[in-house]
Formats: sequence, structure tokens, C-alpha cells
Amino acid sequence: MSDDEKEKTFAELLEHSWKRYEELFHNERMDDVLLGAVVASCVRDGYLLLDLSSDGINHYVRFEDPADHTRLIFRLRHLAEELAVAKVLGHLAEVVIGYGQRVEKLGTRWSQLRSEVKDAFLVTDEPGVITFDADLSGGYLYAQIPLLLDLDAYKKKDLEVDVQLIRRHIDSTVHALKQVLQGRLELVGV
Amino acid sequence: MLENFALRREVADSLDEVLIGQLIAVLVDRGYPMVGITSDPDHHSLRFRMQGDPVLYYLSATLHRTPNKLARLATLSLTGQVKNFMARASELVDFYANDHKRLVQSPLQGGVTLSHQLNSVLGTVTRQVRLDRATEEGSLEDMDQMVEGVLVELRQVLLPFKR
Repeated sequence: MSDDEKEKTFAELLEHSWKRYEELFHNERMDDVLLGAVVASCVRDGYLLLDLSSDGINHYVRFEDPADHTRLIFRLRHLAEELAVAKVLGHLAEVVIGYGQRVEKLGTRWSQLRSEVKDAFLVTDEPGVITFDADLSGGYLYAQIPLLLDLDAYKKKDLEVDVQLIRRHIDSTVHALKQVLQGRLELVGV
Repeated sequence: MLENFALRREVADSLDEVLIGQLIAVLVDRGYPMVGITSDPDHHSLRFRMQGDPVLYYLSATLHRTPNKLARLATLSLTGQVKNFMARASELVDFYANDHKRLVQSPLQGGVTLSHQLNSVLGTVTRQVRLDRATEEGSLEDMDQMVEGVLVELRQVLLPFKR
């Protein structure tokens, strides 16, 4: 092989490596990309970011609407971190969205809501199952729901995400959670 | 899942997070996805992929958290990275011979501190951001303007190192 041919072969090897590396990088970073899009979406809707943490598997974010002090919580988890899995199943994420508001006499109302859940085998991580949780120190009651999101539906070019679509989906979910939480609070009374 | 949040933190305790949220919103809205995030008691560090940018490959941001709850300012460092994909050994040698030499000779250009890592050239600018204005109306627009100014400055300084 001539020196030119060797240089050309080396360049081809590098270019192929960069291309494959890019595929792996995209796959590995999908959860961060989703997190960034969720934060951007909520901040553009007027929420303030209060909390941002990760346990290595899940990302957790919490927001407050300064207008009425209602809060949103999210847990985000990318379910297809292996490239081969993602190629077959697509990029899936498990997202838990919670809506919280300050509630008077929270202790009493929370006890009543909690007493309704008696079955130890109740599956609470199925999409569509709305559960309640209380932040007793802050006086907030939350309604929360797990969803399975197909991340490919939000992808635009390369790693760019359709933030408007995420905004619409979050807004619709929060609307439903708010209705359920307020409806249940009326039923529970005090 | 509430046990995973620092529930005692109210807005006044989270002003650095508020700023980080605004920074993420501004960059993601410009089409630069967030591809990395780490937080510890001293810093929040973020990395964005500058896809479509003519000069920058990554932008990294570090907000240095202040332990002083009464502090009015926080320090934000923004680092732009030019990454050169050089497939020929002769290009790499040339890069070291010329660009690396220039960097060593003048590591500071305007307000941008330059450094060099493997096939990348990095430019860093530091800004003081107002913590006490983070929750006021117009703070998102302020962040947008600050980021725009920084990107213009970084592109200008780093352009000669882009191959």
C-alpha cells in the first residue's frame, strides 16, 4: 500500500468510528435531552425550578408556579439505554408527573385518602393509575401519574426535541391531575 | 416519590436552581439540547450540544453555588468548545504546530480564556449573575440576552481555531 492509500484507509476508519460513536452518544444521552426539554417546557410556562437531582437511574425535578404556588414534580427514567434495545423498541421513558397544591387540614384529608388504599398488591406504576402523596411539612397534597413516553415522537433533527409538543403533553396531564386532585378533595371534605 | 426531593427548600432557597432552569430553557429553545448534567453542593454543571452551530460543538456551563443565603450574585462560567475532526495525521501535527503555539502565546483574548485539549480548543468566559433578580419578571429575557452576548463572543474568538 502506498502512503496515500494508508492515509485514506486510516481516515475511513476514523470517520466510521465517529459515526458509530455518535449513535452511541445519542442513545446514552436521551435521558439528559428529555430532562432539558422538560425543564425548558416548564420554565417557558412560567414555573421556577426548585429542585434538580439524580440517583444515577432517575432524574428528579420540582417546580413552583410563582402565581399560585402550585407545584409540579417529575421523575424521568430512560428505559432503553442499550443501543440494541433502543433500535428494536425505540426510545422509551418512564415519566411520573405530579401536581401539588397547598391544602388546609392536610393531615386529616391525607389520612382519609390514604385509608382508601388497603390492597397491598395494588399496582401503582401502571399508566393511568393516579395516586396521591403528601408533603406534610410543606402542606402540599400531590396527585401523580406514571406515563410511558415514546421519545422518538419528540425528536426533531438529531438530538433536538419538539419542546412545544412536550409542553402540550405536560399541560394536558397537569390539567387532568388538577381536576382529579380538586375533585377528590371536594369528596373527602374535612 | 416525594422522598427524592428536598421538600424543605422553598423558592428563596433555590435561586441558583431557578437560574439553572432559565439557562436550560434559553439554550434548549435555541435548538441546543442538554446532554449532560451534574450537581453537587458546590456546583451545577451542564453541557449542551451546539448542533447546527457554525463554530461551537459543545457549550458547558458551571454555576458556582454560594453558601451565603444572603448573596446577591453567583458566578457563572460558560465554556465553548471547538472540536476538530482531523482524520489525517499530518493535520494533527499541523494543529499542534500552529494553533497550540498560538494558544500558549496568547491564552487570553478579550474576556475569553483559551485552553487546549486533544483535538479541541476551549474558550471560557465568566459572568456574575444576579441571584436576587432570578424570580423577577424579565429575568428569563435577561438570561437570554446574556447567553446571546456570550455566544457571539465565544464564536468570534474561537472561529480561527475551527478547521
